[in-house]
Amino acid sequence: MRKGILQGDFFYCDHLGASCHDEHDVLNFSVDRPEGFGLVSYVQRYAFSDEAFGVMRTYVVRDLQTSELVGYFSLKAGLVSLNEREVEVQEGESKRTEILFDTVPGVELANFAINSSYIKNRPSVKGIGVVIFQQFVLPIVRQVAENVAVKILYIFALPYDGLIKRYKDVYGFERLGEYDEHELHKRLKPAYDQSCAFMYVVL
Amino acid sequence: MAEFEGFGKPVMTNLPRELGNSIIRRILSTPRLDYAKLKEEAEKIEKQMLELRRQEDAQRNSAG
Repeated sequence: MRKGILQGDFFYCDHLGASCHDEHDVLNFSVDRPEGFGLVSYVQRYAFSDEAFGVMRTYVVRDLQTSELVGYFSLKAGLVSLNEREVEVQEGESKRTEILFDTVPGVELANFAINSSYIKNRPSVKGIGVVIFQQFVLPIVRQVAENVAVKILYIFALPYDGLIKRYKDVYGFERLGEYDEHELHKRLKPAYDQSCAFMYVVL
Repeated sequence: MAEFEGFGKPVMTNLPRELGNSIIRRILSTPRLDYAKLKEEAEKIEKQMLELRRQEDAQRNSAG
């Protein structure tokens, strides 16, 4: 019998809250990476209410055999857009003004974390994130893209070289050019000295 | 979403014309994700995990 909404040979994925064990199990969720605090805090303190309010969709991934909590990821709709701009359109001998609003619709992978508690018990297992990304994250997003215009899946990656390299080399995310990143960061100043990197894959 | 203290999230909407055009042109000219390569990698990893589990189960059964 299939478990969850998606099932592989080793893991299965379901909506947060689908299992009565979710609320208990997330309390033991841990992430040992530097950005771990925010990811743990989110799933423990905000994910359930965000789910109820419909402002984030969080999925939990469990071990098919043991049902241990392996990881979670969150998705929400988003877009990249320009300012509205006026363009003059020639129609015969006359011209009229059109207002254009250029957008690239996307889905944001807002959170993506593997449970360090799960990994610690399996130190020789590497690449769990890749399996989750390929078997669960992408199929869910691609299914959305079949019904609603979605061009990209994007993330805001913390500016750690190792993390960004992993997103690029392993998961296939692209990064913007240095100049564009610099210009984007300027829009955040002076509130933030450091900026996450916008990275994306074209679906 | 998760808050990352001290790190701002770039605002990707209402981009000024030049910056926005550059970003959108770059995005739209990027090739699609190589799904086949990712699938191959994921299947390789999953196979390794299944083999590891099989060995663990065998050890547990022989110990019991």
